[in-house]
Amino acid sequence: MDPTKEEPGQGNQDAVSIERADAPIRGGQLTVETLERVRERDSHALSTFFEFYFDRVYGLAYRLLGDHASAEDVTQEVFQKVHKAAPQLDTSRDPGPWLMAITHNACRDHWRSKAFKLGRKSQSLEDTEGLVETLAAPGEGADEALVREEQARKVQAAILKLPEDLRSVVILHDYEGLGHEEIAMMIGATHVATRKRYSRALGRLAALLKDL
Amino acid sequence: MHGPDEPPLTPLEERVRSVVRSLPHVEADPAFRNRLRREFSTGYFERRRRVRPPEPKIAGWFTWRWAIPATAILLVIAFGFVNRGPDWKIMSASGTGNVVVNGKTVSVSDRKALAGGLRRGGHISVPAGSELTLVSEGTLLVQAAPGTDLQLPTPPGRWMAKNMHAVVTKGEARLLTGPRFPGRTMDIGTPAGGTVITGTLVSVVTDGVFTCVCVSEGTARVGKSPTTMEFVPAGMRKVMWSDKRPAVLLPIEPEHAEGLTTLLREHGKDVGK
Repeated sequence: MDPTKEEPGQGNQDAVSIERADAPIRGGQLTVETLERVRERDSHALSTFFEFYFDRVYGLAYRLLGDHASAEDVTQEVFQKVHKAAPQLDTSRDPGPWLMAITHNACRDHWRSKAFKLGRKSQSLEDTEGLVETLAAPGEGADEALVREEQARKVQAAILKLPEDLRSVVILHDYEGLGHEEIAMMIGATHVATRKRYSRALGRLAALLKDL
Repeated sequence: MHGPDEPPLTPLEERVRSVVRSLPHVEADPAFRNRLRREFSTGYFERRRRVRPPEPKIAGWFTWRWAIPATAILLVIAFGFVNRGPDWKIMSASGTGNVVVNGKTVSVSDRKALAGGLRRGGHISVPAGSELTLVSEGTLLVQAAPGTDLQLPTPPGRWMAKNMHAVVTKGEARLLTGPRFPGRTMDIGTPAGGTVITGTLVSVVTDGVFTCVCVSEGTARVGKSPTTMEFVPAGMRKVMWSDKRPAVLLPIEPEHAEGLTTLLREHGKDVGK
């Protein structure tokens, strides 16, 4: 099976062990029963599925593309594909890696598109406005939130300076928490190649963020 | 899922990894999230409508869609320049008075102003007592005798647009073709008829009522209209009238023969003869 083909339900079967129809998936919010109803395109189940995965899909798209408008484009594209492929969903597996693969592929197509390339030239990396609200933890002072916002902005800007292949690996590994084996399957590279890319990505980021 | 198989990292790389891992949660626009949830749960997806950032002007302008026709236009323009025959040059300007070049009065002695006023297909009016000789290098020499009104031909193209057209309204124009002329034709219109030359030494004399085409070398086709043209051999002239009098073919007059002989002697080398 070609890991880059976005087969429905593709993923690390070991990540989720499903033995009963009501076995929980990821914190008990999604069950196999819910996934069965997703296959039937049940409106309520689809809504639950959406709430469960939306933030991961959107977050990954935003971190890879660097702006909200592009992240929205990709997120919509991903959920359209999921809706279309829902009847073929493998309910015995965690759909998470499958969604991440679709998202990654959609981002790759998006950043290779002419419109995105042109858009990036005219767009600054100031698309992190509003981070103060999302960064400020309860009880955290405004100064600390500003420092964290500035740090996050620098890191995001540095990530976006990486070549696409390095950017994907570092985001999927460190932001999404995927292992090198999963990433290798997702991007269609070998495990060793993925690890090397990750090392290179960290090295470049370190060079870009010397004063962090 | 960060396994023990990860390569050893420098302290800085460790720090970078930790800040990447601690990047904050990304908040989507609630309106977008709600709309997409509704669409996903119902299966009815709307086409996204959002304003993209303006495309950079240079990059936006330079697209293949525009580059191909622009390149084609540039090639056509470049070909037009390369195809152009040599411009008119003044070989001699004698006498006194003012020449009217494209409506601009210029002293016949002012060679610089004369040259500046000349242009392809332009009109010149040479006063009595003056004579102007122009050359398009290697192709054609035109001499406007005193009292001549003449519309200069556009020099012929090298590969395309090889035909030339000139008009003699009044006076006498002497024409001597050069070594680059073969393969080209030139028609000269007058009030009383026209001539087509393909390589020759001729003079065209007209006063508005009659036209005389004197052929000193080669042959020329002469007639009142394209359908009544006939070949006039060297040493002969054809006289046509603007009224209904019939055209006549006669031996060339010594006066015109002398003018043409002088032209060949004095300026033949200017046109490559």
